[in-house]
Amino acid sequence: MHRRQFLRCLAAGSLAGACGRYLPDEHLLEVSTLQSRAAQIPINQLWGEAADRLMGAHPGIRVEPASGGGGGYQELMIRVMEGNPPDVMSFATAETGLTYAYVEQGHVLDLTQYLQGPAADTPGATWLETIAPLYYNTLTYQGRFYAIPQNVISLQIYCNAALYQQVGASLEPRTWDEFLDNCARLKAAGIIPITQDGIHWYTSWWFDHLAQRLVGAEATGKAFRDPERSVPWTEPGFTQAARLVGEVLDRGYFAEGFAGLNHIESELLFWQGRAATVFVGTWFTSGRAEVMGEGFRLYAHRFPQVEGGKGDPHELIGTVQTLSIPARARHPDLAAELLRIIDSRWFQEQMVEKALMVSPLVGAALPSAQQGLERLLADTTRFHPFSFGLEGAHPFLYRQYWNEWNRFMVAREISAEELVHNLELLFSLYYQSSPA
Amino acid sequence: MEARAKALKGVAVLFMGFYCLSSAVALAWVVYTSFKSNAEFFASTWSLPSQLRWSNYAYAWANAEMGHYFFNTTYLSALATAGSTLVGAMAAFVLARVVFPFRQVALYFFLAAMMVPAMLYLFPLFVQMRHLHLTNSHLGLLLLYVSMGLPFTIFVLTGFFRTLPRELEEAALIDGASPWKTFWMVMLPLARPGLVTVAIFNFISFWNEFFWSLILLHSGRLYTLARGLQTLFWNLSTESRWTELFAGLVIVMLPLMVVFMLLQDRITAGLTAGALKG
Amino acid sequence: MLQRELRKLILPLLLPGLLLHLVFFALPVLNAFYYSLTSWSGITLEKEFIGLDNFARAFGDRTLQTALANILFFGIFGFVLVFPLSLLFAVVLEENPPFARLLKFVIFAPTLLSVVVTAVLWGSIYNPVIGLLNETLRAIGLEEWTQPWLGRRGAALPAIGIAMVWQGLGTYVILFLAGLQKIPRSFYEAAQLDGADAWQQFWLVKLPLLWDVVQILVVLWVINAVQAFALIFVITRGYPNVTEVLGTYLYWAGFQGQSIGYASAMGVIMFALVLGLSLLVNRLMRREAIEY
Repeated sequence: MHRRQFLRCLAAGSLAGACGRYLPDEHLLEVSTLQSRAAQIPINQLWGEAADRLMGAHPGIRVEPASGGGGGYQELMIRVMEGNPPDVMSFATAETGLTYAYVEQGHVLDLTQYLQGPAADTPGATWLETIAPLYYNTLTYQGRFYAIPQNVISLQIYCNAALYQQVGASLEPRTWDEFLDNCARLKAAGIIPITQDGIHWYTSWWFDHLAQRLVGAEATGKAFRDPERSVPWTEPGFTQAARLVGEVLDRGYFAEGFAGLNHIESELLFWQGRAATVFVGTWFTSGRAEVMGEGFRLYAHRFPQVEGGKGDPHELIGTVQTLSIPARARHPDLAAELLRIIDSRWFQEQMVEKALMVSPLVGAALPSAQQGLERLLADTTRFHPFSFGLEGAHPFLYRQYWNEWNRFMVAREISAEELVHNLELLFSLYYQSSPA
Repeated sequence: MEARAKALKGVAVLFMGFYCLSSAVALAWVVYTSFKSNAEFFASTWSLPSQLRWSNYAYAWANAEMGHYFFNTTYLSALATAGSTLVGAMAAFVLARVVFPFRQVALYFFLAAMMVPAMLYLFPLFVQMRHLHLTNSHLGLLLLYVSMGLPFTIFVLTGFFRTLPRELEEAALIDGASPWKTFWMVMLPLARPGLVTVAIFNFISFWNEFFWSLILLHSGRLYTLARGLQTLFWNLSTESRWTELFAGLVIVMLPLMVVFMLLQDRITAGLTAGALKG
Repeated sequence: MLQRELRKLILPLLLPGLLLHLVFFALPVLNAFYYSLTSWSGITLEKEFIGLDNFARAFGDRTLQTALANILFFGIFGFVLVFPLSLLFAVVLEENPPFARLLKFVIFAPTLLSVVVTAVLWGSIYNPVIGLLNETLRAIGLEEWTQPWLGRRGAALPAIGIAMVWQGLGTYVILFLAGLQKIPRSFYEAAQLDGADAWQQFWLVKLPLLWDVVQILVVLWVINAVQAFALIFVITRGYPNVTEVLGTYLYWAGFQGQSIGYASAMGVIMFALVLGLSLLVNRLMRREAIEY
C-alpha cells in the first residue's frame, strides 16, 4: 500500500510539474539573445548583467533565455506564428538586417514611440538621438522604426600595421591601384599579402564590393534582387569587377592553397603574422584575445575605390545587429526597457571594451584593437546589406551565387565572361520559376 | 601453400598492429595536448607538455560548463534507459505472449521504425514538439528518447520472451496470481539477462546521442555532453583555444572508455547477442 | 483461460509504448509526407499544396546531385575499407594473439564514442595548420604532401571516409569474430582431411559461413552512408561545404534555406533510398542459408 501511494504521489507530482510548462507565466520576460553566462563569451556576460539591472529595477520579474534562443531561429519563427513569441528577439536573418517580410506580416512591434522617449543614461537626449543617424536605414521600414541596434557589423580590410610599415605599404590606400601596390610590396618582402577563406561565401565579398565600386550600389542591388532583370549580370561593369579579382589572383597575392582554407585557418595565418591582410568583418576580433597575442597592431581601412568607377566610395556593405519586440509579446514595455539598457552608454562602453565590438552610438569610442575604424565610419554615408539582402530573401539562389563565384575565383575553372554569363542564367532561371 | 598463409597472416598482424598503434597514438596526442598551453601547442604540435596544466580541465569543466553537461547527460541517460527498457519490456511481453487480433501488425509497427531515417520526420517532429511546448526541455527530450529506444528494445525482448517456456504464465495463474502480478513478479525477472543487454545498449546510445539534442536543445544549461562538445568545438577553435577544447574532449571520452575497460567482456557479449539476433 | 486472462494486460502494458510511438514517430512520419507535398517555408503560415513539384525540383537540383554523389562515395569507399579490414582483424583476433584484450579495446573503443567525439578528434587531426597529420608529415620531411585535408573535395571525401571507417570498424570486427567463433571445429577438421590448407580454409569454410554477417554489414553500412549527417555537420561547422550530403543539405534547406516543404521531400527521398538499397542488397546477396 505504501509503495502504491508513493508511486501515485510521484506520478501526480510529475504531471503537475510537467503541466506547469503550459501555464502562462506572468512574471517571465523571455529574451532570445540571452544565453548561458558560462562559456565566457563577453557579450553573454554583459547581457546577463543587463538582465540583472532590469530585474533589480523590477523585483518579481524574471528574465530568461527564450526557448529557441541562440541559434534556434526556426523555432522562434514558429513561436511567432503560433502567437506565443518571446519578448525580445531579432527579426533579421543572417547578415541582412531587418527582414521586411516580417514587418509586413505584422509580426514586429513599432518602436518609434519608445525611441522618442528619454535615453537610458544620456541626460537631455532621446533614445533615438543617441544612435548615429548612419544606421537609421537598417532599423526602419517605411519611415517607422522596428528595431534597435546592438552593435555594428561592417566589412573592411584589416592590416597587420607592423608588417605594413615594415615594407612601406600605405595603411590607407584610396584606390585599387594603391591597394595592389601594397600587395606587391608585401609579396616582394616574402610576406603573404592576402589571406582568404576559399571554401565559403567570404570570397564573394570581393565581387560585391568591386561591383558596387564600379557600377554603383543601385545597379548592383538590381542585379541581385530584380526579378525583371533590369540590370543583368552581363553588364560590362561586373565583368570588369571579376577581371580585377582575377588580376590579384594571377599575381599570386592570395595565400597559396587558400582554396582549402576555412575562415578560422586563414585568419590564423593573419594572427601568426604570416599574412598581412584580410578582408573580413568587425566580428573579427571578438573572442580572439588569446590568439591575437600581446602587442598585435591591427589597422582597418575601407575597401578602396576604383578609378573611374560609378560607385560612391563612402558607402559600406554592412549592417547592425538588430533587436526587436514581437508584436504579440507579453511584456512590451519591460522589453523596451531592457532594450534601452542595451543602448545605454554603460552597456555599449563595456561592449566596446570587453567584447571588442563596434558601437552604433553617437560619439562612441571604438575598440582599441581596431584602429582606423573611426575614420572609416566617420566617412561613411550609407550602409548596404550583405549581398544586398539576397541571402535572407533567396537562400538557395545565394548559395548558387557564391558557388558559381568560387568556380571563378577559387577553382579558376571559368573566365570572367563565362562567370557573368552563368550568373545571369542562374538568376533569370530562378526568378522566372519562383512565384512572387 | 602453408608458407603463403603464414606470410599473409604475418602481414595481417603487422597491418593490425599499425592500425591499433596509430589509433592509440592519435588518442594519446589528444590526452597529452590537453595538458599543454595554447602557446606551447602552436609552437610545436608534437611536443610533450612542460607541466600538467590542470587549468585547462578547470576551464572546460566550469567555464565551458562541461561539468554541468556531464550531470545532465548522466541523469537523462539513466532515466531514458529505465523508461525505455521498462515500457519496451511491457510492450514486448504482450506482443510475444498474448494472442490478439492485429498482433503482428502491432509488432511490425514498432519494428518498422528501425528502417526509417530520423531525417525523414525531423521537421514535422520539431514542429510538433514546438506545439506541445516540449522543445528546449529535458522533459521533451526524455519522452523522445524513451520513444526512440522502443523499436530496438521490443525487437530484442520479444525474441527473448518467446524463448521462455509456455507453462510459466499458466503455472503462475493457476497458483492464484493476477495477470498483472504474473508479469511483474514472474515474467519480468526471468527476462533479466535480456533486460541487461538492452539496458546497456540503450544507455550507450542515449549517452552519445547528438542529433535530437542538436535539434531540440538551445539553452546552454540544458545541453548534453555531445551537444556541449559540438558547441565547444565550434566556439573554442574559433578562439584558437585548442588545449582547452582537448580537455573537454577527454572529459567526454573518459567515462565510456573507463566503463568499457571495466566491463569489456560483458558489453561485447551483450552487443553481439543483440546484433546477431538480427 | 490463459489467453483470456493475459488479454487483460494488453491495455496497461501495450498502451504506453503504443502511444509514445504514435506521437513521436508515426504522426511525424505521416506529416513528413504531407509537408513534402507543400511549399511550406517554415517561417510563414501558408502551406500551399503543390503536389510533386518538390520532387521535380529535386531532380534538377545540382547541389542534391552532388550530395548523392558524395553519399555514393562514402558508401563505396567505406565499404571497401571496412569489409576487408574487419574480416582481417577478426581472423587475426580469432587466433588469440598476445595482447588480444588490448587490441580488442583499441579496435572497439571508437564505436562507443559519440559521433561528435570522432568529428572533433579527426577535425583536429586534419587541421592544415596545427593538426597531427600535417605536422607529422612535416616532421618526417614529407612537406609536399601536406594539404588542407578538409578543404578540397578530392581530399575531404576520403578524409571523412576514413573517420567513418575508424568509428564503425569495431562493430563489424566484433560481429565477424562472433560469427567465426560459432563455426564448429569439426568443419575445419573435415576441410583439413580433404587436404585444404589455411588459405583455402578461409575462402571455402569461413567466408561462406559468414555470409549472414556480411549481409548485415552491407545493409548497415549502406543505411549509415545514406543517413550520414552528424559527423560531417560537426566537422564542417554546419556550413555548406564540398562534402555536402543529403542529411546536411536537408538540414540546411529547412533551417536556413527557409524551405521545410522541400526539405521534407528530401527526407522522403532519403527514406526511399534506404528502403530501396536494403531491398536491393538483400536480393543480390541472397544465398541458401547454411544450417549448422
